[in-house]
This record gives sequence, C-alpha cells and structure tokens, in this order.
Amino acid sequence: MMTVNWLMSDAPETRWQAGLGQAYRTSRALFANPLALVGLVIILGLLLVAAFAPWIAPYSPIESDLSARLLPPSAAHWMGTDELGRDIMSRIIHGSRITLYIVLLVAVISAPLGLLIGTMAGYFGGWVDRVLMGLTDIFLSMPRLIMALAFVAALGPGIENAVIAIAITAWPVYARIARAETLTFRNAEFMSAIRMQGASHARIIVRHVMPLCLSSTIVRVTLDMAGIILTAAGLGFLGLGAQPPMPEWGAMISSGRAFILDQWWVATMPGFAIVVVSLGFCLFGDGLRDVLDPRNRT
Amino acid sequence: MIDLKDVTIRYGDAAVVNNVTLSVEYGQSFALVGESGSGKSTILKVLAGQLSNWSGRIRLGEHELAHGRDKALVRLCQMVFQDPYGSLHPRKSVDAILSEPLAIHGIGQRDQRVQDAMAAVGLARKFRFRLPHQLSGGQRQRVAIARALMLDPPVLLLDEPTSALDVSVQAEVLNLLKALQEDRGLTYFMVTHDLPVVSFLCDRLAILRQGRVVEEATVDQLKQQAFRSPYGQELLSHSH
Repeated sequence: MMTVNWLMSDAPETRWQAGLGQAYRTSRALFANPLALVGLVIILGLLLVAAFAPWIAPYSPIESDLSARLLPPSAAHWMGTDELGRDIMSRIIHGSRITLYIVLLVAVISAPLGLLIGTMAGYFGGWVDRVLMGLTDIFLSMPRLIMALAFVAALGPGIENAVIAIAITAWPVYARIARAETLTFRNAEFMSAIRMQGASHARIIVRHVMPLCLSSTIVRVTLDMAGIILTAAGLGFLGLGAQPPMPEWGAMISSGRAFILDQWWVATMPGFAIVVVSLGFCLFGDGLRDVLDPRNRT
Repeated sequence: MIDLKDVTIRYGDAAVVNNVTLSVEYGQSFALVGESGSGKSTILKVLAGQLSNWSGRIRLGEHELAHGRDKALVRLCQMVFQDPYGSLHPRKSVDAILSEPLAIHGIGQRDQRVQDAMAAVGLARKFRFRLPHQLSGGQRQRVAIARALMLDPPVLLLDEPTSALDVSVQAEVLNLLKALQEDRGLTYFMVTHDLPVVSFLCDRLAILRQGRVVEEATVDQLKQQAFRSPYGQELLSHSH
C-alpha cells in the first residue's frame, strides 16, 4: 500500500518517481482493459516462444523424416507433419523468431524515419513541407505489397530484403500522422517560448515536437504490426521472402497449399499462428490508443 | 532600455502598425494599451523576434534588433504569454521546463537554479516534478514567469499575463510581478487592455489605436483619469 501511495503521489520528489508514477498509471489503465490484456498476453507469449524456441520445440524444424510424411495431428505431432515429415508445431515455434525479427526490424526502421520526416515537414512548413509531403504522397500512392514485390524483385529474395521492402512502404503513414499532429501545435505558445529561449531547430524537433507525436506513432505502429506480419507472410507465400527451408509462416502456408484438401493441417496451422499473432497486435494497439490518448489522462 | 523609432509593421501589403516611436527606460514598467486589433500584440511579437517584416529601428539596451532570428535577443528579453494553458509543454514536468533554457545555454548547477527559481516565484518544492495538467492556472503562470527569468534577462515582455486567470489569482500574479521587478530591477513591457492592471503595475503607458500611438501618459494621469485624447477618455469610460 505504501508503494502504491508513493507511486500515485501527486507531488513526486524526484524525476524517476514522477516517471514511475506515470508508467504505473498507464499500466493500470491498460490492465483495466480486458481486450488489451489479451493482446498483451499473446505478444508476451510470442516473445517467450521466440526466446526459448529451441527448448520448447519437440523436433527439429528443418530435418526431414520422409517416413513420417503428412501425418495428421496426434499426440506425437500436435499439429501434424508436412510433406517432408517435419513437425509443424516445431516449425511454427521456430517461425515465431522470423516473424518477430521482421516485425521489429520494420518498426525500428520505418517508425523513426516517418516520425522524423513528418515532424520536419510540419515544423518547418513552406517548401520543406511541400517537398517532403510530395515524396510521402508518392510512396503512399503505391500499393504496399506490389511495391514490396518490386523491391524484392530488384534486390533478390530473402528476409533482409523483405524487411527493407516493407519498411520502405510503411513509413509514409507515420510521416502523415506526425505531420498532422505537429501542425496542431506548431503555433502554440510553448513553441514560441522554446524558440525564444534560443533552442536550435534540431533540438526543438527532437525534444519538443517528437515527444508529442510519439504516442500516436506507437499506437499506429502496433496496429500496423498485424499488416506487416501479413505482408511478410504474403511475400513468403509468393516465394520472395524467407527461403526454404526456413520455417517462415507465409512460406509454410504456400507449401501446404498443394495438400489443402486432403491434408488441411499443413496450411491451416501456420495460418492460425498468423491470425492469432496479428489479432494480438491489433488488440494491444487498440488498448494502447485508449491509454496513451492524453485526453484520457488525469 | 527599449527604444522604438518609426516602427512600421506589415502583414502582406497592409500596415498594421504605423510609425510608432516609443521609449522605455531601464527599470521602468511600460504598458501598451489598446483594443484588440490595435496592433499592440504585433509590436510585442516584433520585440520577441517572432516577426521580421518590419521597418524602422529598435534598440534593446545597446543591442540593435535584427530582422529575423536574433541570437543575442535570448539573453536580453524573455516573454510571459497570455495563456498559461498553452504556453507550457504538456508532456514536460515543471523541472524539465525550467531546466531546458539552462541546458540550451550550457549553464551548470541546474538543480540549484531550478529550486531557486521556483522559490522566487513562490512555487512549493512539491510541484517540481508535476506535469502542467496537474497545476492550477495561477501555478502554471508562475512556472511561465520562472521560465522567463531562468536566463536572467533585463527585459520581460508581458502579453496580457493575467487576463486568462481568475480574479483572485490575478492579484497574486500581479503582486508577484511587482515584487520581482522591485527585487531585480527588471524592465517590463506589457500589452494589455485592462486599465486597472496598468495602474497597479506600470509607470507609464501608451494608447494604441489602429496601429498608431494616440497618447502617451503617466500612470498618475490614468489614476486621475486625465487623458488628453478623446480616445483615451473613451477607453477610461469603458473600463468603469
């Protein structure tokens, strides 16, 4: 009880007490939202599975056993085996690492890029805004999967190139959001005040503009993660993402397509994995939006 | 301390302020009075370095004001804004807001300076790590005043500093401004339409109408209601 009072104090004594208090309030609001909690549990599950994949997976994801081809789900193989006799559950467990790798790398590349371009356009206005937003519009007008396809075709198939391709198509949305958000307060008095204190443009953008755009960007990235997973799976399905024998979920669906009528589990199980993880990110993103909206803060 | 000579300010083709000449001495408290649209806030913006499309000459102390971004201005004058709800960054604590000018100019002993500044404007220590939305209007305006004083500027620009506050809080903030001026020998340049505020805080005033100075007067003239110009008399009659 003491700790809670200390965390909820409206007169924190140190910087980190204030920070912890804010984090505590945010997490309490998040835990009060059951759907967001489900999303969080799914994401944490994905993280754990990815971290401990070699210990959790009962079989090797790559070694084939042709005597055990296309076995239906059973006690030995919970999700059945594929056309090379590999345990599908083990492949899905190892595939979570690839999914997580793609999602995180795309987020790390595209969110800061979009945030920087959007805040610069909104803050400077004028010709900087026109040039940057023109560029954004060009990227935004191209369909994501087609564009990613073109990049992968040019750079060659592989996970790294798939990541680059998806990141290049993902940033314009964040730039648009950050710009719109920046425009709402660029003429606010606190911006005039910080300019009068002699802060450089770089300092104003990084330390004063970006923090205000950050929560909407984080929410948007979380919501987009489902789309990123689907695009990565789509590239894998088309044979342009992860290459065999890597257990990428999209590629697994693609190889299971041939047996979909007689051995439904080969394509369905990785499909389930994609749906569950996408749903997890969607639910968590929704909850995060409700929590991080400053209008809901007290 | 502040000298304006033949200052004309334009928005596009329209001149908003015409040939204004004013002079404020060191340590004086000067008010620019007028109705909205009279151009008084525009003059304040020019002094704050926020507008560059003006002509004439402006001197702050020994410094000749440049058109556009003027780095020397930072140490010479700072501003207290009208709306304490809009002038503080919504995601930064009082501590971060007050430390920022020190960080920008590489000034050390930040902990001590922030505590001193909070004491000087009468903010208790417990407010130091609060966010603006956890403060009242009067407390926010105190933070804004403390922020303006962090770099020890000799001149403070005041943009209707009390008009957004409750009447009871207005008096507190005005008393604080008066005490700070006496302690530190600050020069105030205030823009307002509130004549009682002027008579409490200021030594001299100028009345602005449609971008021109109609009358310059002392605060005694205001107290005795002895404005010479008919427009000045009109303003007086409105304020009662």
